[in-house]
Amino acid sequence: MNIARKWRTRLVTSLAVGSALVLALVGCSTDSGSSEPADDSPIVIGATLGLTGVFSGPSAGYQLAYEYWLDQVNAAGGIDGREVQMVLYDDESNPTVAQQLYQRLINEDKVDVLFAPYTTAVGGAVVPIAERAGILMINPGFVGKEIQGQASLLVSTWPYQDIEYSLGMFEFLDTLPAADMPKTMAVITAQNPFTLAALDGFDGTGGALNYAKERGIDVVVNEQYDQTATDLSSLIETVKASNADLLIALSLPNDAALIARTVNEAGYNPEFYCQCGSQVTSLPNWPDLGEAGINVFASTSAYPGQDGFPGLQEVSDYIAEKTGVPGAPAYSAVAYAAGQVLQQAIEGTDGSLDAQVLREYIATHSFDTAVGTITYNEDGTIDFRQVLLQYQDSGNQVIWPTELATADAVFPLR
Amino acid sequence: MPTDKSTNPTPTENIALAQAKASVVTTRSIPRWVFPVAAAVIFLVLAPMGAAASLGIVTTLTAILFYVIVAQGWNLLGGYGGYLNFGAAIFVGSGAYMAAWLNDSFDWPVWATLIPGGIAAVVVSIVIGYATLRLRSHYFAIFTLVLTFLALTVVKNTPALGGAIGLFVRVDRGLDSRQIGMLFFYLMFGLAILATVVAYLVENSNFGYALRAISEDEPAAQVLGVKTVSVKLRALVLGAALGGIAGSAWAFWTGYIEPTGAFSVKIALDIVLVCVIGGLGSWLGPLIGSFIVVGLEQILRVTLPGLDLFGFELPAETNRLILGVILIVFALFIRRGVIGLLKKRRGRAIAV
Repeated sequence: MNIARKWRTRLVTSLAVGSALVLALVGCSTDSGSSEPADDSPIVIGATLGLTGVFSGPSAGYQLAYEYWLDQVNAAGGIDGREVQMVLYDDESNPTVAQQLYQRLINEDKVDVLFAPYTTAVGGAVVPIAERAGILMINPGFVGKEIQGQASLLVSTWPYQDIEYSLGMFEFLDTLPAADMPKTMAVITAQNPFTLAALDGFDGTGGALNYAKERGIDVVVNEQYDQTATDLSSLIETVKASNADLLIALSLPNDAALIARTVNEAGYNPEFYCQCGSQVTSLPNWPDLGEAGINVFASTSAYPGQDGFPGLQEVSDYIAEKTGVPGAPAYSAVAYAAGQVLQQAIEGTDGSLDAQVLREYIATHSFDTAVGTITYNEDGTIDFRQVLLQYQDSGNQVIWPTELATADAVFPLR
Repeated sequence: MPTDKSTNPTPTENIALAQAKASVVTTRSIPRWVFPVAAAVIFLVLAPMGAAASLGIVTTLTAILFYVIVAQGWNLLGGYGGYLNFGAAIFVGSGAYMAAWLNDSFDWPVWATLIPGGIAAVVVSIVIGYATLRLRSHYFAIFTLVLTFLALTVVKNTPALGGAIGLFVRVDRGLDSRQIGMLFFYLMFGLAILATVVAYLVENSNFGYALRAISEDEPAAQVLGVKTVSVKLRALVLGAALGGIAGSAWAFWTGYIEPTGAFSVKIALDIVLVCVIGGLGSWLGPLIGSFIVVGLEQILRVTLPGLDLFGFELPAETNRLILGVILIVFALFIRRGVIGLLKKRRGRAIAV
């Protein structure tokens, strides 16, 4: 073969490959319509979730809740007579990927409203993108007092923020006679952005350490651990040696189960033991812990079986049917509530999709949602409300708020 | 940029270098100017994109350019030197954290943090290099993986770096979306050109030939007088500097970094993927590989969801599966990557 022709062919090939790639990328942008939407055009919500990667567990719960909400709202004729669609991408639990996808949602898919992705690490990276684009972002995905404070178009559906995770437990303790109030506390915390905020608070407010201080409870152990640890026995031995009356574990689901087992094996018997980091006692694996899981407290956003939480029972039933597991992960309630807040805001503003108009409406009205009837603070967070559960022999029972209580608290632990 | 010009190779070292050089030069079937022209065309086509393309495309292109910078750095030791490793995330993370810390503590802007970010990565790489570069092949690869987890743990437990909570990194609030998009696109664009030029100069220097000699037969190169540890260390340090600078820019671009994301094994794996698919040990490889891997990932991410395949909805993992298959195909049949398809060269192909 003629050498000159050979390399010419290769040159053409390489240039063709290069230009094809560039064109492929550009091509993605040209197919998006930019026409002004008519009044009967669908309302499009954009979101990502970590459907693969380390956050795929919770993300699956969100996806189901979104699915159910969309089915419900469209079956009932949509919002303000318009169909509701959702463009949902997999961010692979990765903030850089999420950034690319949110830019795409805003600029190519031209969505009307955004829902935030799951967890602070991913959400923190995309909030500035939505802010700069001037798009309303409803946030069922993560808690973070600091991020909420920095964003003007970010509206949370979590009825408590990271720094308030253990507040329900302390508020419950306040209802006890002085003699039952714990004198000493041990707190162990997973090394994760939101559990550490749940420990320390933000700007001097909130956080388990502050709540204990305000009540005169002496902190005798305050340790952090790696959430991927597979053996925490030495940590629990330290806690046991302190003989603290109250054990607060600010953990994520996997390590929560490990801690409960280790506490049981160590024979540590505090008056109160709260897994206050994320809602764990209604997760499918909790009953498998047997005795180790009994009488553990945990805080959550809402629990089915109560009045005043419209849609919660239904979305819980839907998720139970889809996954074969009863109970309501906290995620499903806040995810469903995101749809409810959006629907009520659009209907309340006569079909507006303008970010500022919706934001203004949300700031000044109350919303009936799966996490209760909620009103908003200036920074887009909700006034604190929480449900404290205790996993008793009979299953999860609501202990606090007192008016919702389904059982009396059992203590000491064993 | 360090090259070997300052040192005088010994006669035997000259033989080793000449052999490595010969294996590159004598079998080159495409004129020397073709690849530089191809690269120039790619950059010229890209140049107006920051201002002209939609922001979604600009963001994806910025991610691609970020990968170009890091992959060019990684390719020096990993590609030319044949030392496959998973350490890229350590250097990106070091640069990102240095930049974030300077911004958080002293309000430094992105421009001012690029050099300190590079220096932070260089310091880390020197420590790592002295500790590990006497290890060979897979031992080195495993060690770099372990070091990534070690870096993650250290940062998680360092309150000054935000611990596990991480750090917020702020760019000028007066800029709008388009300006921010353009800022980071052109920043990464400039750095990607710089990294590509560095890789090109290295490939055509004694330093580059020494790396090739190490890749082809390290004991022989050593016997012939190539100062293997020193050459490898310099490749690692230079690569780390590029990774650290890219990490600084990335921290500002992301706006929020925390240890798990900054020291993510996914970054390290993607960089290896980029270089293997583009072509190990070629300055054009990382450039082409970044477009293919990051561009393809993004296209698959947005087109696959909701696609029906004979009535079955594709699972979310499908895009990783497709990339995995591509990697296997390259590892088995196209070991020199896309660049290898375009030019033939004798010598050892690097197994994956």
